[in-house]
Amino acid sequence: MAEALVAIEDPAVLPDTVGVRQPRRFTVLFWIAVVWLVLIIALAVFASVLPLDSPTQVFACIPNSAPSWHHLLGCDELGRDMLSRIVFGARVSLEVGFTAVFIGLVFGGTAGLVAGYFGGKTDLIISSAMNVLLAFPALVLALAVIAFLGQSLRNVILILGLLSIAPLARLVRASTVVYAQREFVTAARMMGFRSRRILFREVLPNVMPSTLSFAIVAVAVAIVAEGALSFLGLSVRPPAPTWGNMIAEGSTYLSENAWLALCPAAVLCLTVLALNFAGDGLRSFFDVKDSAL
Amino acid sequence: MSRGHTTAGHEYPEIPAETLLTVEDLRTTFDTPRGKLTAVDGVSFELEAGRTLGVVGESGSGKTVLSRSVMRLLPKRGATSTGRVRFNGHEMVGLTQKQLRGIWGTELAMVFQDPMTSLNPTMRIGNQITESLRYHLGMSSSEATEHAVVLLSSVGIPTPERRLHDYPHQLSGGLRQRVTIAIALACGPRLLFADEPTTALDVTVQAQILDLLAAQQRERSMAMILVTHDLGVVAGRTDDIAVMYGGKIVEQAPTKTLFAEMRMPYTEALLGSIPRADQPSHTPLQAIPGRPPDLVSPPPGCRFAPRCPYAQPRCRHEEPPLREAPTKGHRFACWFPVGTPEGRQALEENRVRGVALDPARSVTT
Amino acid sequence: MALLARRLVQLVGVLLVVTFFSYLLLNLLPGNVAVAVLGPNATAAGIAHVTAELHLNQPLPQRYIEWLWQVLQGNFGESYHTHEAVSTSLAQRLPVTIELLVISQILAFAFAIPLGILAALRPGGWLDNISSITAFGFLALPPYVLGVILVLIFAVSLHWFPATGYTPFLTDPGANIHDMILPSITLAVGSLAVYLRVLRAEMIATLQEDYITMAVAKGMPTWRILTRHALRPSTIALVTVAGLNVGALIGGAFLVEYIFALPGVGVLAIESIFSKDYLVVQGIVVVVAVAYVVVNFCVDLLYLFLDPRARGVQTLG
Repeated sequence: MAEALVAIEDPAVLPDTVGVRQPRRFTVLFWIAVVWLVLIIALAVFASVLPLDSPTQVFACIPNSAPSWHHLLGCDELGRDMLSRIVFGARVSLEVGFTAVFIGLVFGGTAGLVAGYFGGKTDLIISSAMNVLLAFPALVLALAVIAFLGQSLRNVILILGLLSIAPLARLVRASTVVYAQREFVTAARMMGFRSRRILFREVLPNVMPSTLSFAIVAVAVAIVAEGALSFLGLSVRPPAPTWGNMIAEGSTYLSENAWLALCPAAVLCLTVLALNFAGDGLRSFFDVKDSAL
Repeated sequence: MSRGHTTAGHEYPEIPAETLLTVEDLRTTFDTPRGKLTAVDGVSFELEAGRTLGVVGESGSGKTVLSRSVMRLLPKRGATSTGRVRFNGHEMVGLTQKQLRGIWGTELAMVFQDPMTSLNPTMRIGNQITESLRYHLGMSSSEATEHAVVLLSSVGIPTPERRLHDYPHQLSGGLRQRVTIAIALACGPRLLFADEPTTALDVTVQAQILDLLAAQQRERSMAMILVTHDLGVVAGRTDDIAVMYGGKIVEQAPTKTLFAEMRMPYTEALLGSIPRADQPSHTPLQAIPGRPPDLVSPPPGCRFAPRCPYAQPRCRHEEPPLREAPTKGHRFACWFPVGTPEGRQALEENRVRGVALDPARSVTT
Repeated sequence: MALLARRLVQLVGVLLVVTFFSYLLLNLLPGNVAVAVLGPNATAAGIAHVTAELHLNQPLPQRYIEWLWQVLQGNFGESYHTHEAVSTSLAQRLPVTIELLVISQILAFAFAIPLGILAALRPGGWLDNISSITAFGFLALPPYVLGVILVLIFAVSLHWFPATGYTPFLTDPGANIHDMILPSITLAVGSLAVYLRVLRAEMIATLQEDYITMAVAKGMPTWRILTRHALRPSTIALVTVAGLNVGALIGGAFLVEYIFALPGVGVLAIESIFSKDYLVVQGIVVVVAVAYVVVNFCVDLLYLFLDPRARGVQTLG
């Protein structure tokens, strides 16, 4: 039993293994994830020039038909091409995911840098503002804002961007606090450099790796959230396809044709999984905290 | 609490010398990314009931692993330990975890280095003492509590009834180490391992804890293995001392003999590195130059040779065996022992050649 | 006690901020609030009535205080569509949502704790590998995907459980539990994955502690070391994460209610959004946000129970 129970904690037992650093390497899973993401992004970007049927054209093929050479993923209950709908749905998901996180990075990142670097009152004010944002359950806040502000792609991006500000700000603040106390920052201060220069030239490059790997995972979270809003019919209005509304529509035909719901669901989950793997892979690759200095 | 013989008087034990622990050719290795690390390399010794053995060495000398290996308290994965360990009638090597649990706590107990980390922060002190009483001795809750109070007062904790309800963070370091000692003593072990029991404590408290251990040991006629890096700690408190270097015992002798007739240059170096009251203040302390050997690929010959002021070419390729000295119970491993004509000559040769690591390289306190 | 008093003051402060922002939502409405609330069929008389009732012609701080005073008395206004008091609808719907949340969390902890302990006991063992990979996969499964899959397998194909529907507990407890099984599992899986990962990591770290080696050296049996010595220090992080998870959980509950047509707060919210019943939406936001803050406050208090060090050093001496 219990091999983990007994540990040798005397560090002297393993004198020279600590200094040996494992070579940094990406795993196979990381590369599979990257390939999948590149594929999905390429499809979404080039959707309009690809030889695809219109995603909204009904009776482009036989309703509920199985995958065939002409319609690689089959057709939905209205005879619309599933592949085309998934590709155009990817546009919405990716646009929302990346733009929302970009908003979060710009505002949250700046707030975190400033709060972490200057500390004191500035930190207190910014952190309190972030805590207010975090005091609401995310999806409930999103629902409420959509309800009062109206339903549109722009509003979905805005609210998901707003929601990603606080978590990103917290992360950036935490790592900025660490770097703001490092010798090279103190040295730069002693040499009389301006705060803005120190922040962007000394602190930002060091905070970047951990922030970017977290941001990739945040994109996955935003895509899932957009999916939830579409699933509830509160994102882009039908007939424009999104992965969420495809799952919702498909789920009413589960007994006739489960494929209609499972296909977009699988694509969504694989994309989320791929983003998680990519973020995790980058994080362990960049693990600046333990390896450097 | 009368397992074994409790001597009422403070005379030195008159129990017939009975061998409690026999260790033969104990060898413990760990798998590391760089290869097999031999932390304990063919160690043999004996310990009689009621006596105290001090195990002394630098960090990395294998002394902690030695005590864990004797207790069989090693990680199952990545660690291999072979040899013979005979304790109180049990052949310890090869026992299952379940069989060991019947020995741990009841016959063999351990006091750890750092009382800040060795007590569970989320359990009341009382429960940490009573649980082994209830589990091993089958006491009822009230019996165990009563007994815990007796134990706490015997290790010198004031108002023990109140302390039972405290959490570890409410106690000072010295008090906490007293609590861990009480826990170790709870079921009346025959052998107590004390692994650097005072290293993490304030200097003022260190002597108190060592005295407490000695007193408890006498009262319970319990054997003890006191592991430390500090020869000063073991000086007046042990019957025998084993000096470890690079996973091996390099010198072992009754305490007085060791200090009077040390043969191993490493022992001499260790002694030179502790402050002594009989020297004028500001006498420079001698640091041992160099680093302990790499136990994955140890140097050929004597492992101390690269740091030894006496080292000769022979030392670097031929390993000295552990041999008997004229005094009974004194063993050492050295080709050019301290205090012998060979040793003096070796030291002189090195001085003339000027190649020796300068033993006088020192730090001033 | 001083600690508790300070926490309570903080709680009141946060509640004031949260309710203020919930109230502010109404101001997001484009154009005249009274017109928006009443919808396209608003009459001049109706608009005047609503303006008076919601104090819309008063300055914002005063309006907020008037509104908060009413909310504290349990009055969230009434729906201008159904003319039912918002508090009445909430009282009907809340028990369903709470039941769903409670059952799902019981399930999540009931599986996460033993699995996390066993996985940590042999890191890299088959149980650890399987549970880690499954948990990572489950994290990529949002409730609206998992719910659809579970309905497909257990309702459409196997007919073990109903796909939708709800029986009140007091009408028929057996049927109620039967109806709640699939929804609860759907909601539990995400939490289970999060809790399992956290507990596993914490347990592995705890098992390296000196006091665990000490317990082994005391001859304590493995199960006792795991449950009495290692579990409690490891649950401190678990509680933190469970608190942070509540927000995601409430969102998940809304989705699950929608999938399984459970008459809970989530479905009420979605119905009200579509019918532009703004006062109901506002009432729901207030109640949910306040509940969320209070739950997190309770989690903070739970620390004091779990970690004696957090209680401060009062008994020293």
